[in-house]
Amino acid sequence: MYLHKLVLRSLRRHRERGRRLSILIALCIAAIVFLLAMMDSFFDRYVRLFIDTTTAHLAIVHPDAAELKRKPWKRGAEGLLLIEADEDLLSFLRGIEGVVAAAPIIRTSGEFLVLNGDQQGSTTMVGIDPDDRQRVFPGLRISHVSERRDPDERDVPVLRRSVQFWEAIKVATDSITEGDLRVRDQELVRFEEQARDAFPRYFSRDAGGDRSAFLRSLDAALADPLLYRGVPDRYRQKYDWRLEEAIAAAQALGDGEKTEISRIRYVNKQLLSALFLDAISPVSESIQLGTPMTFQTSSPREVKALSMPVVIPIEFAGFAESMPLYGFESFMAIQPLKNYLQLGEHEFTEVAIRLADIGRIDSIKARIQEYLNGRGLNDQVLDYREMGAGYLPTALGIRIGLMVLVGLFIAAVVIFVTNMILLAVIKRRREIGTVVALGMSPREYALLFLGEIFVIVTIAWIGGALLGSIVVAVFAKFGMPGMVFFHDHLLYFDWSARHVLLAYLFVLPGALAAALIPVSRVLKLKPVEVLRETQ
Amino acid sequence: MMLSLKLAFRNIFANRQRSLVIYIAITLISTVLFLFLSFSDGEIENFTNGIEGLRNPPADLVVSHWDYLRAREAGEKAESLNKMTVTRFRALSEKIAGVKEVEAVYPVTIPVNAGLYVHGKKYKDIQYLGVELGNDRHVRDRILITEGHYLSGQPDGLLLHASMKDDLGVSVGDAVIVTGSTLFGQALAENFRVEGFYRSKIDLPTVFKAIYTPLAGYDLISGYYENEVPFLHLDLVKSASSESVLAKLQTLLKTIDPEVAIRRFGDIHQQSIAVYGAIRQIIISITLLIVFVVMFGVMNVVSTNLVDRGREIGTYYCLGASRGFLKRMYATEILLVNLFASCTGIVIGLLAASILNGVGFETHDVGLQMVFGGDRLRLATSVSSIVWLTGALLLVTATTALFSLGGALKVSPVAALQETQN
Repeated sequence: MYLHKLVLRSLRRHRERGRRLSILIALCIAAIVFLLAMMDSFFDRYVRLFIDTTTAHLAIVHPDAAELKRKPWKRGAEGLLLIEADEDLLSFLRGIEGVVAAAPIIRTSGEFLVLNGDQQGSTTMVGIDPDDRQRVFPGLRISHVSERRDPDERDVPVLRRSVQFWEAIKVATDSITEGDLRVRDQELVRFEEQARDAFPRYFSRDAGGDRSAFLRSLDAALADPLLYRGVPDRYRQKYDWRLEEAIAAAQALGDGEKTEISRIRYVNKQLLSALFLDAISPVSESIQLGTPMTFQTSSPREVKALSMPVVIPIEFAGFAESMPLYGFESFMAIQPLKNYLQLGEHEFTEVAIRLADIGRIDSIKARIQEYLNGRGLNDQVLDYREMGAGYLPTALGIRIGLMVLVGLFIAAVVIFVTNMILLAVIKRRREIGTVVALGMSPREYALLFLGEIFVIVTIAWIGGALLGSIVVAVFAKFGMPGMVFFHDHLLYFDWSARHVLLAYLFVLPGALAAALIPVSRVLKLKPVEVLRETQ
Repeated sequence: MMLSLKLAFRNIFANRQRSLVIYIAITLISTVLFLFLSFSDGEIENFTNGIEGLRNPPADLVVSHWDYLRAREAGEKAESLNKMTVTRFRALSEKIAGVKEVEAVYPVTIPVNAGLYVHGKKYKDIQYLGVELGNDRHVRDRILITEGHYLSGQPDGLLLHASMKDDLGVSVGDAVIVTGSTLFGQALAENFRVEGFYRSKIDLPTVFKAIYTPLAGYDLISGYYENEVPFLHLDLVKSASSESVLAKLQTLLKTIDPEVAIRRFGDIHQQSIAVYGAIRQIIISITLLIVFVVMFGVMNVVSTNLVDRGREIGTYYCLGASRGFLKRMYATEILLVNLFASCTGIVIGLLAASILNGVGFETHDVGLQMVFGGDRLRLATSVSSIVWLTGALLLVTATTALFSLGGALKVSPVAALQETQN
């Protein structure tokens, strides 16, 4: 009964040491709370991200497609694996309690091409009703959406997948430097002469072979909105579509309203590189909204060694960001895509289903599969775990790594507690001798030690949980930077009382077990020896 | 200095138990951190030597078209980069191979994305690579033949990745059509025959399923002329300095073929390790967090230990030791323990890594393959990891010395003596 009083008295007497140990354990607990929150936030948010942007909760697919979805690294043959989704099926799906949205989808892969035929990246094109898109994939980040200027325009508006780092143009598009020149030695001298001859007003006659002066003059020419007027006729005698297009673009800009200087310089750089194709690197077509382009995909049915692709005139109406790093999905309205692919009214590649509660996924999945079987359809229902087989390893890998670190911090607590108690046992030999002489058994004194550890860990837990929660709250508010797997490279944490409680449940037994090693020494003490030592 | 070092040594053993606790803690932490970093090194090494190594075999120097690097930096499209090749590469290779520091010269191709038409089905986006038979160690050393045989030299021979056997339902001896378009946009439909299947020694079929063909076959698929390749890779003899050989070869190539340039491997090929680089950054950030907490732990343990060694400190004062001397002595003691512990941690880590590598943990699980960077777990060691780890632990030592010693050494000699007399 008096033991708790002794514990408190002892803690007061050795408060300096107890305070240090508390701070240390508090730091470890804060780290554990942080790591547990990071671990769960990463996993949950990553899974949620691919459900909300790519897979939805459930999907009905063709049986052969099911194999490819479960094993996304397997190659599928060209041609679409189509299912029949009629109104009955869609009504049934939408009528299931817990289904938020069910949307038929066409998913096909292909290339974006600019009008001169250059490729501008590959994509997975998702044809979906625009009204369904945000209901089925609420995590999509749609940005820079532009209004259609001409409602009668035939080009199909597309939300382009986000620009990947390798697609960003690394060179300045509004200046000419040595790095833009494709020629050297005699060819360079010849080009300099040609340029001076074509645009004499920008080059001083006495510049001679001064290369930097030549480049400066060339660069200065870019700023002239009327540069296109100086193009000598002899360059236009033989038709070159690149040059004619560049002149038309420069003319539209030069004769039009006042515009940004960087735009004029960009157009003039295009003009010069079209004029001196062998000497100046062509300016890459930048990824722009509203520019006419094409999306090229293979035919959905006709599979021959060589077959004509399906070419769809499109324009980018905005950007859609799905999974950072792995997200290659672009979106367009389903009907025009079906028209170009000549698909039947009820033909789709899948039906994506979004649920209100992820916990009901197994029961709803079984119900839909039963319905399909009942109608004699061999289509399969897949859940997000099967369809996300390509994404889950990343989340699992990070989770395992962080679990190891939690273990490391528990080990650190154990070592530090052992050290402190070990020292306390040495330091308190006199005290132990005295209380033993006064009638306390070594077992009771060992309990006293364990009681102290219990109090220290509990106090440290309060402090550590508070500190850890503050750090978690900061990352919950501002996000943890450098996480390339998430939008904006930020991972937002989710605070949970479970993490705080788990930290206590991990650390307390560890600390008590650690204390047992030095405390066992107390049990072995012979009162006579301790008393003699004390005297 | 020698005296403080001698006393520091003596004190470590005089306070064995206390030193042991710090030693065990630091050893454990440095072992775990070392294993974490070597896991990250291993997955990057797996990826770069395995799949990335098949795409861009690491070499010392690379011969390319003189304007290739500039054009790539200027953002020119693949269409114009593909035209920038090394022509008459065989004659050039012979001359380069004549330089005594050059161990091997071999042509390296760029993957051509085309289709494969087989049994009435067409598979898109397959990568075709060419090899010059007899000069293909960079490929042969990295693959295992799982069925059939290696390329016989027939221009229509193909060597497929083993995973394609099931994926595409194709067998050895099957006639297939390579279809699509060449690197220059011309329509392509050429007949080939499957000669064998391979897998990479460090495999990652989720990312890479290339098909190999002799250079003559590759020319048909890519649209290149005979005797024309994108790159020549050069391996130098071990004792050669790449900088001096580079200068020597630059002079040589200027006279033989001014249309080509020679550069360091890293200048031409940028290996794509984005995901693994990101994972490494996360690991590095977390090691910082651990080091921070450990620092507090060690500071706490050291200052507690020194409080308990008040008598010892008092005695030193009475014997005429200055505070600076004691600071130096105790800092040396902590440094020695930490350094020795981190070295032990690294050694244990190295042992654990070599045991795990020796056991050769292989996996067919694609998820794990992605995490490992290949089909086996590999723990590698890099100098940067060891420097990072040792540096972090030295930082712990310095911080401990700076913040813990000052307070702990404020001991009154009189009080210490009195305590000793008692």
